Amino acid sequence: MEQPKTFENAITRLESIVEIMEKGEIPLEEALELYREGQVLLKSCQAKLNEAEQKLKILVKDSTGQITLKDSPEPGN
Amino acid sequence: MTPEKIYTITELTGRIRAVIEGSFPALWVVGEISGHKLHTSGHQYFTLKDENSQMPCVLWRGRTANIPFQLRDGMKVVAQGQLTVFEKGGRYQFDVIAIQQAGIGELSVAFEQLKKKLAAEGLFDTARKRPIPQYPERIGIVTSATGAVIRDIVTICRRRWRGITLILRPAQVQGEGAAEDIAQGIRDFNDWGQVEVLIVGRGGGSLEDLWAFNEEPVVRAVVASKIPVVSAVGHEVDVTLCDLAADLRAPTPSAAAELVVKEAQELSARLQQFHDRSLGAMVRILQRNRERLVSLSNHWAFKRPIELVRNQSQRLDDLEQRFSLSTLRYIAARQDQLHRLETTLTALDPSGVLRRGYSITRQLPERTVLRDSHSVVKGNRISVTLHHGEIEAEVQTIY
Repeated sequence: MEQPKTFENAITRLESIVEIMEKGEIPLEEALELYREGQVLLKSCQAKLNEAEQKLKILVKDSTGQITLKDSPEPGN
Repeated sequence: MTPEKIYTITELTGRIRAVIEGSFPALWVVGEISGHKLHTSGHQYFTLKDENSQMPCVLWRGRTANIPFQLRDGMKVVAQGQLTVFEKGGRYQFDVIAIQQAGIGELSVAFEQLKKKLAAEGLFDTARKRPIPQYPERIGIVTSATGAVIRDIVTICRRRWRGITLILRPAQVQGEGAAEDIAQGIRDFNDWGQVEVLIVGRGGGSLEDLWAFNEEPVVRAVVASKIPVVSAVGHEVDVTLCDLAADLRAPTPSAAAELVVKEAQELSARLQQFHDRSLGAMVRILQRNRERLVSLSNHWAFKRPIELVRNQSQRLDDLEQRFSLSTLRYIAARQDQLHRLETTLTALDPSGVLRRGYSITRQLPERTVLRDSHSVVKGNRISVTLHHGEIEAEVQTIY
């Protein structure tokens, strides 16, 4: 199973983990494996939600067409 | 030098007025509104101007009912009226009878034609709309660096989910070249590929201000985008071709932010649900396994070859060990129910007990487990099950 990179993927994976576990038709070892995977996902998602720093970046394309990000001064003030 | 005639100001102004009104019957002028003022009397005063000249205008209250929109500075209009002289002020002015937004007719014709053409290509079909991600963490925004869209999204994020990453591709959103810039912004994000959803838009303005979002390059860039696009142009009443082509249309920029950025609190509650449900399921699975173990342990001592039992025990040892290492600590802290289960699992593990040096003694040939030395007499045959192997012996002394 590829490690989901986005919050979206993590939630989708968590949904299916819980569904499989709730059906309960799996061997103990597999259940433990899923449980552990779920815990890892939950922890990384929660860390993302607790992130307090607001990030606003500016997409910049240079003359060679190279795309980079630079920090932005906070807008709207 | 004796003057032939000396006019009073009123006389002269009256003559000027007669000349002006006589020379200019009711006519149409085109210009841009500036200095618009709504007087408490309900009359509206403003100036119509172009690059070089300006003309004071008045719209009497009784005529405002004919005007289907609010006059605003910067608006290009065509006004019908009568040129006259405001005698008290000593200046000429234009009495407005009717007014309409300049170019609105041409623009709406262009809008309808392009809409028809693109619709025929299927670009506005609901079938080709992509779902908007539910919980995007990286949001791309194509809009002005100083406009309402970016300001609203930043504010709403601050309130909802601070940790999200917003990436702005500043674009010119009105005037010459705006459509191409917006389209290029959308393509830039697609080339870069590291955002989950795009918001494209601008704050409110006149039909002309919003016009770039009705142009073909923008529509085509939205359609070609591999990243789902939320369109947020102007106010709720403004529907642009960009809105029609987008995967989701937000009525305003704020609404776009609220549609796209989820609340961290809500998501947290959702995660907690996942946690509780998976924990509950885990506990139930463990309980079922325990029940199986109980029935197995009732079984093995009598019927199964010791080797099979050992394999099972080994497997349980493994599981127990792996379970307790990472997850159990966490679970036990939160739910001692699981802790009790673990204890049960350990207690049920016969191999652990045997390994520590205990043994099981049975009377032969029945193989009933012995708990009391007085259950046997000298000369009885017994069997002793050890961690490895089994011994058959004869009772010699009883204490």
